[in-house]
Amino acid sequence: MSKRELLLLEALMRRAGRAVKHSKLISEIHGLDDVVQADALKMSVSRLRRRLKDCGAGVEIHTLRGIGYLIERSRA
Amino acid sequence: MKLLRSLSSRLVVYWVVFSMLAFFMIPATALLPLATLGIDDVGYVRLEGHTVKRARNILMRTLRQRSDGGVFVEMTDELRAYKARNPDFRYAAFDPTTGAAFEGSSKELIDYFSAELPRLEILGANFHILTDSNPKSRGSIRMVRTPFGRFGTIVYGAQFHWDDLLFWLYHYPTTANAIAYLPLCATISLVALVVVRKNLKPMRSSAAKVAEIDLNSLDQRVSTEGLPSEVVPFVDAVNTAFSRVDDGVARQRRFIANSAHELRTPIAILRTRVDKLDDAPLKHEIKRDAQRIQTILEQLLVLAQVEERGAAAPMPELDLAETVLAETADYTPLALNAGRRIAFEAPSVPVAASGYKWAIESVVANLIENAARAEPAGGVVLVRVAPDATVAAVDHGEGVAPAHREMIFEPFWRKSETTPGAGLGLAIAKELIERLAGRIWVEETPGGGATFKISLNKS
Repeated sequence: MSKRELLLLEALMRRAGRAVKHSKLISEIHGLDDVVQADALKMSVSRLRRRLKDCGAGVEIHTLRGIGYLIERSRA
Repeated sequence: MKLLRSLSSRLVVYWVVFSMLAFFMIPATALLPLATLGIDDVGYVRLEGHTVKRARNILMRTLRQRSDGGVFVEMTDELRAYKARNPDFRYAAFDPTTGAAFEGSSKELIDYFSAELPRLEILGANFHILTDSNPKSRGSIRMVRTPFGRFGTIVYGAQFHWDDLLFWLYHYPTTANAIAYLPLCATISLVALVVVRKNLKPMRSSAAKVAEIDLNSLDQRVSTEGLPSEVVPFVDAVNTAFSRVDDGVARQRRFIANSAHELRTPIAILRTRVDKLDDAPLKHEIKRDAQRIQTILEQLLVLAQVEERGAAAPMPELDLAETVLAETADYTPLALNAGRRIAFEAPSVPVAASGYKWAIESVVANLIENAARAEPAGGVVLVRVAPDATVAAVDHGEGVAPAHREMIFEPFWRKSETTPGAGLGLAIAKELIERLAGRIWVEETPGGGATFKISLNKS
């Protein structure tokens, strides 16, 4: 797991069950200095999702269009 | 009767009625006592004037024309009766060109005047015969017009009787008198109009001021400056009434705020206790109900808050997109729990608007909650902020029938008895948005559903 994915997971878990806004995630992962590409966050999230699924973590990351992401225990 | 409700027209009517009364009453009330005491000779003559007029009127009706053209005075029943009441009554009628008296005239009068009559041009005169033993006897010589010519008439020595005034009353409303009266009435009407209009003008600005007072400006009072003193008590009473209403409203607001505040604690306790319950489905429902009650309480508190702060303070500026996004993000987990999703759309640049953050948050939360409840399971509620400082909450549920689009903002309005909630949410939202000088309304979502929109002032 890359550093960015780890940071992303930490940011989501700290607010597990609640929505975490795009802007918040970007600043947590990339800091303020980096120039961030539009879909960098999206790619990080999809990689993280795959990893979590592969290891059977039993959590789900919801995409909230226009808002951000939310991590919670899988409903199934 | 609308005309008579105008003050100026009432003035004119009163004036006409009272001036006529006065006109008839003055001789009877003011002149008569003087006349009977013999103090005011003029007054006496005025009273007697009616007697003289009546006497001459009787005399005129006795004049007859014979077939040869000659005129004579006939002793009619009326004349006989009048003579019986007035033993000293003398009368004469004569040809003004020759001075020749007509047959039937009183001999004494003819003897008295006959020498002078041919040399007089009769213009009308009152007189008293100095040799008369009764010092109060008055007479009058005057021309009259009859169907068979103009003649001179003399009446003398008739006594004043009260019914002479009745005779006068009967003959008073002539066309000539009416014509003489008309310009006077017109002038008075004009004066009444000008006076009333001019002096009641400050009333109009006062009325405009009163009309502006609403629940939020109850502290305003109407100035009595420049108002006619007659309407000042009324304005004072209005001001006092406003003071009382103001006090009452303030008390009521405090009561609502206090009640809502007091209810917070028991609701919080209730929610904690529900958490401890084991029965999962029931627990979930009770929890949701408690949440609803809490929402209503919060809304009531918000409303009380905005009422207390008043509209006077300038509203702060904020980023509408940021405010709405935060509120939307907060609500997302609840929606996810209920199997709905929420999407958010906003311009990439901040949307500046003026308003209280907590008020906007409250309204937006209410709209999202409503939309999430209306949204079918698995659907997506869209919250959209537009650059013109409008916010839309779009659902794809049953929508709001056009007939209900105004009503739903009324307090306690519910679609049916089974609809959850107290029906206060939208009413409070509307109240809040209007306090922020904004607007709230509902449209139809293309393809079905309701789109609630609020627009705020761009700053």
